[in-house]
Amino acid sequence: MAEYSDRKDRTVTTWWQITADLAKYILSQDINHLDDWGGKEVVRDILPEVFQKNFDMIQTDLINCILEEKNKETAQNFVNNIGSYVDEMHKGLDAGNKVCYHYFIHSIEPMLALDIVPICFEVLSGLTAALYTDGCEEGIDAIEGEGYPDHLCSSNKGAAGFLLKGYLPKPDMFLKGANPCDASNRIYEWAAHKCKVPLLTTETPYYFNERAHRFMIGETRRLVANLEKIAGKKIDEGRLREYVEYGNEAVDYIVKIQELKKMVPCPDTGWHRPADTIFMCQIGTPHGAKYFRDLYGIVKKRADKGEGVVPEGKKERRLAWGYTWECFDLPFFNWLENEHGAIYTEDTLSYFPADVGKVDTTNMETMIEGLAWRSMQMPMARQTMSFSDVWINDFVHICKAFKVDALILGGHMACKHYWALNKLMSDKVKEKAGIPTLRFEFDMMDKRFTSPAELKRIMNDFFATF
Amino acid sequence: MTALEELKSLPERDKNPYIAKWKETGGRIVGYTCHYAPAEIIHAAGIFPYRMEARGCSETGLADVYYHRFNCTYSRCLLQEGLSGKYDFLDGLCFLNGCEQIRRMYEVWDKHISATDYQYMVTLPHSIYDAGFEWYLDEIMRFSEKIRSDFAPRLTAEDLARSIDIYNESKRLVADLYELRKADKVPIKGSDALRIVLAAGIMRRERFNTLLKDALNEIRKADGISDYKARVMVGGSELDNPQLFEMIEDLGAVIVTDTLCSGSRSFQDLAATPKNGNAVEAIARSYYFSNPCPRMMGHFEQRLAYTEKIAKEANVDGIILQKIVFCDNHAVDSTMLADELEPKGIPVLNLDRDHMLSDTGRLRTRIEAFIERISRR
Amino acid sequence: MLSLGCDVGTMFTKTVVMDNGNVIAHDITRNNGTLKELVEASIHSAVSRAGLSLDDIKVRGGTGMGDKYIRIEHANQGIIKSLARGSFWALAGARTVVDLGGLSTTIISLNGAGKVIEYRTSDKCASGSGFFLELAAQALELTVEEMGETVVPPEECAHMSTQCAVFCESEIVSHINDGIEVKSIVGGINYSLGSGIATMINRLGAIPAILITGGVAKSRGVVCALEKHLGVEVVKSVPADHQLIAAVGAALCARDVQQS
Repeated sequence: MAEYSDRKDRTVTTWWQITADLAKYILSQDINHLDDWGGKEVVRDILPEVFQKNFDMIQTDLINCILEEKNKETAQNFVNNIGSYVDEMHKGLDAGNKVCYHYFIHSIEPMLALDIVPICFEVLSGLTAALYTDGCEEGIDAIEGEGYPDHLCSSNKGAAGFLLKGYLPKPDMFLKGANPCDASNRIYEWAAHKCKVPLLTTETPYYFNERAHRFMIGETRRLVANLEKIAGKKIDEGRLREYVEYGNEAVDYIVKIQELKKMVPCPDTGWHRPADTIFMCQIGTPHGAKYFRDLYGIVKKRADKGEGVVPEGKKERRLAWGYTWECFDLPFFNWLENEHGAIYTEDTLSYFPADVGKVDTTNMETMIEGLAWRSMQMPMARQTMSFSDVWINDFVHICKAFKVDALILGGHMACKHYWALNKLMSDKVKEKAGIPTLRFEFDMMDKRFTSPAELKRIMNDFFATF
Repeated sequence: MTALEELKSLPERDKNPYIAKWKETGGRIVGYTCHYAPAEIIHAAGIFPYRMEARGCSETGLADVYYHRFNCTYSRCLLQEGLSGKYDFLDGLCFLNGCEQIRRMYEVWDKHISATDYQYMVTLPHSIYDAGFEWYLDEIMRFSEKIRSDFAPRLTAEDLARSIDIYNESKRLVADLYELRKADKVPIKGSDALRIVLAAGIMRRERFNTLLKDALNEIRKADGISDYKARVMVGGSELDNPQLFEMIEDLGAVIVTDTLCSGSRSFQDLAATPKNGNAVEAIARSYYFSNPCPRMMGHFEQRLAYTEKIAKEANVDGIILQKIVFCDNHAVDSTMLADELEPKGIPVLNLDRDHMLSDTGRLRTRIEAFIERISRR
Repeated sequence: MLSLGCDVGTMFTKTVVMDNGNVIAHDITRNNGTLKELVEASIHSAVSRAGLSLDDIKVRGGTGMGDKYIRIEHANQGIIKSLARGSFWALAGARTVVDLGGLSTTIISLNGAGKVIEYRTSDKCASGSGFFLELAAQALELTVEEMGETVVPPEECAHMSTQCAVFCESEIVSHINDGIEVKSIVGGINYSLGSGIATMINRLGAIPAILITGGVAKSRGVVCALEKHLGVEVVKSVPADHQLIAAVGAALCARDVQQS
């Protein structure tokens, strides 16, 4: 049995590590539900002791969801990835490498090539919210307890609170692009100030033209120079190429999976969609590439057989999420499939435009240029950095290309952008794609705002009108 | 009416006579939403640059069709004013990506408010550094080209230089106004000083300068207020309405300075006299390198130092940082400032409010308690 | 054919007994106490008022926030679907339904055949709802009915700057302390509620005929204010109590299910 760190500053990542091993252990049993093994209480007692406390923390519904036959393969892929992510991170920490907390849409290849340990701030909130009954609420409460308001984004608040509580490794720097929003910018500003470490920033241009791309190239160069200064060494072209190639592979598979989801029936399960976004922060790592490669294999296999993911006899209803998912209850998306035949096509946080392309690895210059372009096209960066029309038109396109039956406008309470363009989006989608929209409020990482039960009621009422 | 009375009363008058007069003679008006908009360029093109506000807006029913309760009430009130036709006098509107709540209004305005003929977007980087300045400068140059082609084909470098002079003159005069308020006997109430500064945004600056020169002479002769309980500085979110200042001063304090973007921050840095005719660059520089709005990243130390400096210079007893609910920028910035300033012995009150100042009872109670805490007598 | 519909809302439980498309008996009970018992009592009371026993009625449908407490066959018809169905029954030409309920407001766009095109439910906030009116009435020491009968021209309304139930109470107290007439304050509350509802309707489009349902529909003051803001008249008279429309819809939906 593995040894786990008992260092306080690895509290959160150690939770994940144990959860990954625990989930692998459970997935290796021949069961489709905890009840097949005697139920939750019984299972707890027969688990190896090292897992028991962690088992108490995990959402039981999530375990049952990943044990369902149709979800097992994607679940295996999911937990493998969590394990690798933490292992790599801990290895870097053990080696005494510098630590950079970064926003999830940043290209991390330059950091990897400089032996900096990238830790995604939002993933600390998101993955913790996804796995555990209490989510990242302890972190959220900690930062709000310091007088910071509830209308900031829980994706930052959770991690910020964990930092306050000393649950995370000490940062050497923070890295934040000017996108997507003021709320996230401010939390990074707070965090860097609190930890007395540098805040590296990159600007995002407002447009998608040659001038904007040129500017972004300059920003990427500036970032690399800043990282080099902190790392105390020059970036090696060969090493950068190695990571960029992993990044290319991941993006290539993401786009391929996206294409497969246009098929009717949709060959991809919905429960892991938030995880797909969460793991986008690993684009550039070997395990990130592996996650999307394996996911593509699973989806392709189902697609080749013409199989869908909704129960037999249920009519498939195709949803797109105009803002994004919640991640405090991943089984909710599985429930949508099973109960309403509703599948998950796309959302703002996972959609890549087709022309995102590959980073040209010929030389240093081409790689910088490619990374700059990709960072403008990353989900959320693309929609938030420019005019509302970019976001809105993406969804008109998505609704048509993915043959969407209804667009869900569940709005994250903290997202000022989204609430300011919600109505324009629903008008345009109704006009151009002729489909209904459903609007409601929720907090993507804090179930106390709109509970899983409330979400289900909202969806029940909605589907009753079909 | 004396010059002082004229300036003091302008912001709260039902009708702004300067708009009607300007329009009568065929003049054009271009509005702007943010401190970082280059008003000098609009001015140089012979246009009346109008700093937009939502003073007096008391309901947001029209705006809430497009916006939402999670958007701040300032942005909703501003949109309401647009949708209800209050800004139909604008020929053009210059948006900035200052904060997302205001910048997202660009599309709603474009699609649903047809009276505005020209709409512009000027984008400003979120940090202060050389390449960022190059971008902003490029944006300002493009904006000035558009203004030229839409309104003033004969716009010259001399016009720009002249407008710089006029705007610099305003800044010097406003600096004089703030200087006078540092005295022990404060010669003008903070609410009236704010009215004067707000007036600068809603009239042509030539006229404003003339009036302020005369007004300053009146202010210099005033006896001054000396029976105040405390000297207070106000910072935080956009504040276009003297009502909150009135409330603070009615409770016995006197407001002697501020760090508001609708107040002193719009008048801090003079634009340099253009060298080699490059006036646009001089203008861009004066805005970009001015003391940053909290929406800028990585400059907290600078904002903290600025806040402290202004507070010390005006010898304040405490700082009120008011913020509009759902304003992320000021919410975090104010809390961070308070965390730093309090241990240094500078009392800070963090105050949540709506743009339209509802629940005045709660506000009054909190302000009263703060004034008691910092009271000199 | 006999049918029964029950709507367990956030503040009231409503039951109707219908015969061939007409409401022959009904019950409206305030949700004070255990919902399970209360729902049973409401059903029992409506059925006995109709002079029937529950076994006589073969078609039974339920809906509402508390539908899990309804122990009958088709208990979860969905509130939107029930409202739409009930509204189409009440007025075949209805294109916009405005349901003013206890804790939420719902706007539904219908096509000519009574099918739901799209709908919006109010945000997670008690503003613009029956609960809000009750809080306001308490603060003013009036009954909700008295408030509802107060129709005040806009120019005589006290200004209410907030639609937040929490802030509203302190604003009412401030107004009273400032010596503003109770009538003006009530006018101000109704005016501000009407404005909030009109905004919600405008998000979907105010397509006539606009039918209002739900308990708050009985407040003349709110409805008049709503019409002022909307600039369009709404349909006020329906063939049953406004509060019963969802229950009627549930009964009709259950009938549809059983017939298909």
